[in-house]
Amino acid sequence: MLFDSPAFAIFLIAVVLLYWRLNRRWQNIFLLGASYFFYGWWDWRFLLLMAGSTSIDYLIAKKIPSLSNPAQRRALLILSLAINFSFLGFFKYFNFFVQSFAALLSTVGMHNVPISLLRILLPPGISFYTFQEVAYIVDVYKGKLQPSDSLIDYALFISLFPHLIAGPIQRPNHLLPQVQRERTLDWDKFFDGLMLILFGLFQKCVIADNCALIANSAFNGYFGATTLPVVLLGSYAFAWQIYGDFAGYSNIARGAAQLLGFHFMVNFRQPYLATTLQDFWRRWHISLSSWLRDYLYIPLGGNRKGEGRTYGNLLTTMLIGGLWHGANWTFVIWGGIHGGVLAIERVLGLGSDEPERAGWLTTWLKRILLFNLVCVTWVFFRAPSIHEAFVFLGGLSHWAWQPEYLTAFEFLALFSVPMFLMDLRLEGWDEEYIFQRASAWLRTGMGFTAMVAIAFFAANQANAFIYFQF
Amino acid sequence: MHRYSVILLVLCTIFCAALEIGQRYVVPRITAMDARLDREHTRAEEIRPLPGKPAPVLIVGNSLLKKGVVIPLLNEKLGPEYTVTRYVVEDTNYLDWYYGLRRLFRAGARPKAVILVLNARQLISPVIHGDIFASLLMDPRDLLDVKRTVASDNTATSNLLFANLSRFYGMRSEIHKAFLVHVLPDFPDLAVKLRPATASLPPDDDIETKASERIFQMSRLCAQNGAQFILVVPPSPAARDGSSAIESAGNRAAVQVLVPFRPQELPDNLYADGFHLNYRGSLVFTQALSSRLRETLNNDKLTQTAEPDDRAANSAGFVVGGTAASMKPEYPSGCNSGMIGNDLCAGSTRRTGQ
Repeated sequence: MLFDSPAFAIFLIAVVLLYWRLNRRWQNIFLLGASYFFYGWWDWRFLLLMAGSTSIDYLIAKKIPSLSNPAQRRALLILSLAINFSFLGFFKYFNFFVQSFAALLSTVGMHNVPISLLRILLPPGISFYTFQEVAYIVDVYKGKLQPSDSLIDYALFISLFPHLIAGPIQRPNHLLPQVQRERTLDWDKFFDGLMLILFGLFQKCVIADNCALIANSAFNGYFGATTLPVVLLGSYAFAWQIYGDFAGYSNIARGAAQLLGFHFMVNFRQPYLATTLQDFWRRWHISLSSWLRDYLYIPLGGNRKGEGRTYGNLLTTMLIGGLWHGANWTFVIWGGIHGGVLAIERVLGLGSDEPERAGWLTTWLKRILLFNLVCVTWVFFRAPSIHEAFVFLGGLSHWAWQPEYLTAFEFLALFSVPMFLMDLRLEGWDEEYIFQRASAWLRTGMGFTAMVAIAFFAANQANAFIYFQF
Repeated sequence: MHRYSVILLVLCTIFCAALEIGQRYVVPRITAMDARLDREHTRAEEIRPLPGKPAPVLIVGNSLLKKGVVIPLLNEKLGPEYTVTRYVVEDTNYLDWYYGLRRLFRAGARPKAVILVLNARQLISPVIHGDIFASLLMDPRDLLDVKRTVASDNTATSNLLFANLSRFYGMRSEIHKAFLVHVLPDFPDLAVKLRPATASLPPDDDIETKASERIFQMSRLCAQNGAQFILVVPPSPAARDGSSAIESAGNRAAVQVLVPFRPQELPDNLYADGFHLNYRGSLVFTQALSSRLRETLNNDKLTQTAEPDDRAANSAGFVVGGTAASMKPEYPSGCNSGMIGNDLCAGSTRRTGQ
């Protein structure tokens, strides 16, 4: 069920009310049942897949520490990784690879090659829980983590419903101990959870869903010919749409977890205020970028094998990171551009960990430049094909103006400026969520204000056509 | 923070309750659209044949009906034998009205005839009107059937149920739109530009196959509730509008289909926006429609003593189809010269072939 649906609200209220009446053991069993219900609500056919892969990893992780032979330990690790990535590869990438292979054959003159495309349904959240399972098995293998004795606890770590479908990807050493220990109702954290949920809904329903109206129209050609204003409208609107959508979902997940006594890692830290791309990746989808760094980039050698290898590792990590987002070459291109720019920044010595001493103007110029660079890459992320991405970007060289463009920019400003101002506040005050350090009354008032804004300004994507009827 | 958590939750709960109460009881008093919807829905539900009174006829549809048919003129032309009640929900399609009529019939509506005004695309459309459909037209008892018909997932289905139960949730898109217009007065101009391009019509064979199933389905529903079903296809400025395929579908399903005007038969200056008729056009269309409706309704009187199922079978032998030329009203040049509005066109139409 979607986080912004009434069904989820009813589900969450029921779970929270029942949960705090139970002791830890029964809390975990209850939450596990609730999480599987939540997942089954999306598609019950994949419950067995998730349960199966969870059980396999649990058993393998239990076995690894008991083996003294390094080769046997390594073999079990490889077995677990192979199973996890096989599931992910099959369900998410089978048709993509088959079609890409056929396209490759046609470039060398082999046409009409019979290919078998399967009607494969994509299990919801498989990308997220697979990465969590991989992190767990690798940490156990490296001795950083003791395997869970309880299948219930481990299964709950994997399937805890707030993060199951769309993250944030939780590290085993952060979430598993919380699952294993006693949780008590902390009203400070409970209030924080409510605030996170309200602001997350504001980001998703007000910011993202309204910006989507403009972004979809620009990318689908409803504005007519693609011109410079249309490209700007589309790319800027999508930039705020994807940020509001993803950050909103992450905050709702964090808030829901907080109501249950769990703390999830922060996933976004004002990414559009970054001054370099390296800085951007320390702020955007932090749970994924840190996972890629720790479980892909560093095992590949990181920056320890010389400059050339470092650039190769950067590019490889970002290409795979791009592909993780979806089975389309556009995502690979998106990742590749990011990898390439990160490498260039490294060559030029930009994005170092040294604190910036640039002045206010220089900082803001860098931010504007980086924001526009990121918006260009978003075009590849959003477009259905590489060709259409380039056609869209080609509009940058065409100028035309219609009166409706001004209204569209005003509309976009109406729904992006609040998010921008929120980010400025968060940046300046170093808060986990907005107004965290304000007085209780102010926070309560702002939470209620978010509720009012959601009631009157939340767009409804399912009924988007309504906005076109006047 | 226990106290503030409770305060925040209580504030949000009170706010939600106020929204619901406001949407149900206050908003209809202050917004024309909500008031109209409430009024027309209530009147449609309360349709009953009364001895000594004109036979009630229910006409339903979307903006094509709202802007294309002048109800007072229609009532004038069909009176005193018939009285027409209109129920319009904009941007609706066939499935919205199939389930909407099921709900109305369950509520006790008993019109003598149901007239559905849809074009070919809307007749074969596989979609429903989302939350507004759920709020105004759907009976919660039909929820699972709707889920199967439109293949919606659990979340979308639960959203429909919630939209049915909560007036605010069901109408929130219209509320959002109203606030947008208030904040951005030029938003309607932008929104018109943002309208998705209309997909091309499928081939006539496909239209006929799909339409005949639906026409028969609707006819059976109406017959089970003692009503005659009549489908009306409004005029279109497009070269091809699928109306001939709909007529063939009507023949196949043995149901009355009225096509008062062929594609592009009406001049462009009778259209407001290339889709809806303007006021002059609506007078012309209403005039043409009324004469054909009267004949169709009168013919059904011959079978009105039969049982509902038998009536459906009897009406199967009577189809108003064929070419419109035999019934085509000729409107004088005055209709094109801005003199519509003083009954000049309405009073001077002639029918050929009578």
